[in-house]
Amino acid sequence: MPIATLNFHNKLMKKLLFVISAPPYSSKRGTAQLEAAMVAAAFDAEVSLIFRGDGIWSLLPEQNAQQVGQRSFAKVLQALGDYEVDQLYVCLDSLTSRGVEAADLMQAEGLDLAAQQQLLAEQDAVIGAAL
Amino acid sequence: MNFVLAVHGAPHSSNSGEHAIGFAKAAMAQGHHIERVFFYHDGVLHGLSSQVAPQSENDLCKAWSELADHGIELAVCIASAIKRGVINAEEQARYERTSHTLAAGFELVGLGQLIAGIQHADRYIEFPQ
Amino acid sequence: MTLHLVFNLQGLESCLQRRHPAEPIVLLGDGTYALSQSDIECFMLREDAAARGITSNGKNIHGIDYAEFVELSTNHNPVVSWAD
Repeated sequence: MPIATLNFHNKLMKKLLFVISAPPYSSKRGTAQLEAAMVAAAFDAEVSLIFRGDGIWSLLPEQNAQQVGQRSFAKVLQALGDYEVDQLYVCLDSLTSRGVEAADLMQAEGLDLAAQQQLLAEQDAVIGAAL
Repeated sequence: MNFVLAVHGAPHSSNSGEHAIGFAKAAMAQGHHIERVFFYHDGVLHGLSSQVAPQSENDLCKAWSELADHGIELAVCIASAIKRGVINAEEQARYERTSHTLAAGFELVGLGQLIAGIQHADRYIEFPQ
Repeated sequence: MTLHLVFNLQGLESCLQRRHPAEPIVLLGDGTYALSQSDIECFMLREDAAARGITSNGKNIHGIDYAEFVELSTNHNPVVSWAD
């Protein structure tokens, strides 16, 4: 059963997980997901994000999005910290299959597939942006 | 039970709309409540007033209109919408465009309405692209 | 308990990797094509399979309509959609 926490105002804080499974600059859905996560945090939801599949490319450091006339994903990701959204996860299986090491990426906690099943089960809602 | 439905796919390139409409009708028939249908990403195109449905196919516009007549809120994400040219009269004036394109029965809302809806409802069901 | 909605074959692959065997799956849209290559126990939206010419006589496949889809969603949470 999902665990809900009572905040000061006696309102149920729902647990919302945002899934980013698309790469950053072609689909543009990842940025939209980050914005939704920030709105959710502002509404007192308990927010986490997971990057899986080609979504993991969002976490490559030193992206220079100005080159293609877009906002840098990293900048938007940094703004999440201002909203106290710090539960960022990345799928370890997706990293392995792409030959990427967690150490090469921006900060996110690695989860194996079993841990992801557990994470999903704990949520009140899972918001995706599948292509 | 109270549902929020999210439509992410556009009318003629996905089944997102058909699935959401089928679900909404069945839910209402069972006495459930639809908190709102939230159109996001390419799903905002369901709210485009200028589209013309092919004759031999389901008229999604008509289906949405019927749901709106039953009191279901058709909430279109304003950020996704204006990028794609789905604008109401207010946005038309604000951005000095030649026409407004939001179909009757739909309204432009912020992302907060998605989140508020999820917090208030019992279930969030998403129909992807 | 989580309910998984699967909308295509890529989504099914991603779902199966992250799903507990007890958690039910509903195949919808192009997800119904999975029935021709697997007899995984699941629900499928009958009208989507029929539209695509997919028939399944497998004992493990339970055809449902929208009313049953709604019922499944009232009995499970969260409801997770998979399309990639």
